[in-house]
Amino acid sequence: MLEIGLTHYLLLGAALFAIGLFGAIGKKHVISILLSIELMLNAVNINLLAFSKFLPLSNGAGEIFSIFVIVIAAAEVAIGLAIAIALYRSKGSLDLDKFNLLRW
Amino acid sequence: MGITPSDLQYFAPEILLALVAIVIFLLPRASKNIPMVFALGAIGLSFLGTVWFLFTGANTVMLFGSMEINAFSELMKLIFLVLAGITILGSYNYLQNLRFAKEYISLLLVATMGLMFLGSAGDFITLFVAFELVSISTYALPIIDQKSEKGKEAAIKYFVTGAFSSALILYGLSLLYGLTGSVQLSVVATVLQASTLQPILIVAMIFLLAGFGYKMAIVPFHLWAPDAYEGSPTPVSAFLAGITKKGAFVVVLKLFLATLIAIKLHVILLFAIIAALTMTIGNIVALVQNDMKRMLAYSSIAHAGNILVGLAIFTPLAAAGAIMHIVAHGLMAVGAFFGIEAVCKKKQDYSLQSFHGLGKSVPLLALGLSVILLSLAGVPPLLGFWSKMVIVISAFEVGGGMILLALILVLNSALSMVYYARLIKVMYMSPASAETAPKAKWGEIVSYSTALAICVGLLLLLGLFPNQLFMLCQAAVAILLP
Repeated sequence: MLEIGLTHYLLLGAALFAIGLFGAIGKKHVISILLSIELMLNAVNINLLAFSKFLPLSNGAGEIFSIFVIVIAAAEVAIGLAIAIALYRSKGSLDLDKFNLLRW
Repeated sequence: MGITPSDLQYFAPEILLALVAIVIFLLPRASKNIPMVFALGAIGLSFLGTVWFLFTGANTVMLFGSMEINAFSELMKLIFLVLAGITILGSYNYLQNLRFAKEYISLLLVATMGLMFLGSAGDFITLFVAFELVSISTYALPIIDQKSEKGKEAAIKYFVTGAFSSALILYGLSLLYGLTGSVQLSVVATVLQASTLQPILIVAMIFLLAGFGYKMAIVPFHLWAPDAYEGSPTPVSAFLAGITKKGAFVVVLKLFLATLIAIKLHVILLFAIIAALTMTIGNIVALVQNDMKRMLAYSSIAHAGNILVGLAIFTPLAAAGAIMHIVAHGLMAVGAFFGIEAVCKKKQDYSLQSFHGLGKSVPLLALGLSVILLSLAGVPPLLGFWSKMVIVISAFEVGGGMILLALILVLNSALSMVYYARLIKVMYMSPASAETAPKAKWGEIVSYSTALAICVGLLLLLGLFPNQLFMLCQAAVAILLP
């Protein structure tokens, strides 16, 4: 019987983070990027909770940290969606390639 | 060691800012000037309180080590309060035609409060929440003027890179937590000091460096900055380039210098390479810019490299120089953006051509801008010279490869002189006919010129008497690097 340990959780976290990272870099649509960033933040939560459960010295700081991460992620998404709505109203699209007023 | 009522007094400045920010949100939309009066009053009172704590030597740790009040935190609060005060004061003219004036002021106050918490944060959670308070409240600022198309584009670019880098930072912090079993900076530092260099520590450092690299806008993570600064309304650019970016440096000072001291040698090498690249690329690209806001954006990237040199040298003297350069560049960036806005606001043309003949038509404005530009280039006796000088001296104290880094810093200052002097030359030497020369209606630009004048005055004052500031910086660094 395979015991699920810290490594498994960390691998899950790393995989989720990698998927999010890939999406955030590769995608061109604002909403997709927002979702990818959410994946990255959730990977962080998995890491924090796993460490908090398995570390000998743990005093619950990881759980508290993850709650703060969730709150911050919600705030970040709220303002991201607000900006996305404002952009959609003026451009009719959320494709990042369409935003090219600023060039060097 | 929780919190006692007598500890609470140290947060009076932040609490005041938070309360006033909430009150300003509740004011009726018609009130144009009341939010500004409230905000300036709150910042002034907070400033007095912080000065009191700084000079009475307040020193305490509270809330189970998550908050530290000491010379470093109070100096940082002082710096951010002064810079935010100048920005809010300078925005007066901008707010006259802005529908969301009270939201603008309120967001600036909340961001300032977050910056103040950064200096006193003692654990990862506080550090991260304070940093996100700054980021989230500034994400909305570029888009505050709904009519500006460029502002929308700047907002989305700033937001996407900001949120992305926050995730990178968090992943690095979670690995550090796993490695040390604590979120407290002091505990993490002791645990890491005893440990050897482990692969996971390197991974955590890379994630943290990438995340904060975005926030500090250092090469190769700098590409969002010129877009965000050019597209934003100019007072917002001043706030982003001069103030919020400095928050990232405060965190890096705390996190890398004080905590990751175990991997000192690797951090030094990495910082030195990045600093050299940042200065050189920032200055070279700034050379070819015609839009002055964009030029200032690249110049502030180059100055981020200068501050990073101070961090790379890794001695108390160099760190003090870095803090001095944070002050100096904050003042210079705020002053320069407001000065440019005073000249270019009327025509909304930020290219070099709109500065032709400024020296004749509005001599005072040209003089103020010239002082700022000379300070950016590092000409004595302005503050921008002293901070670079302290960094260079500390490099020679360390010797070895750091002398090469200092040499790159000096050469870059000379290189940057080219594009600063070009703007000064255009203002004074280029002829312009009576119609095309920029004119000033003082009523329309009074706040921009006031902000410029305050920055020039402070740069001159601190440049002629740099001793007091230097001692404060040294006292602050002594706490970080015992």
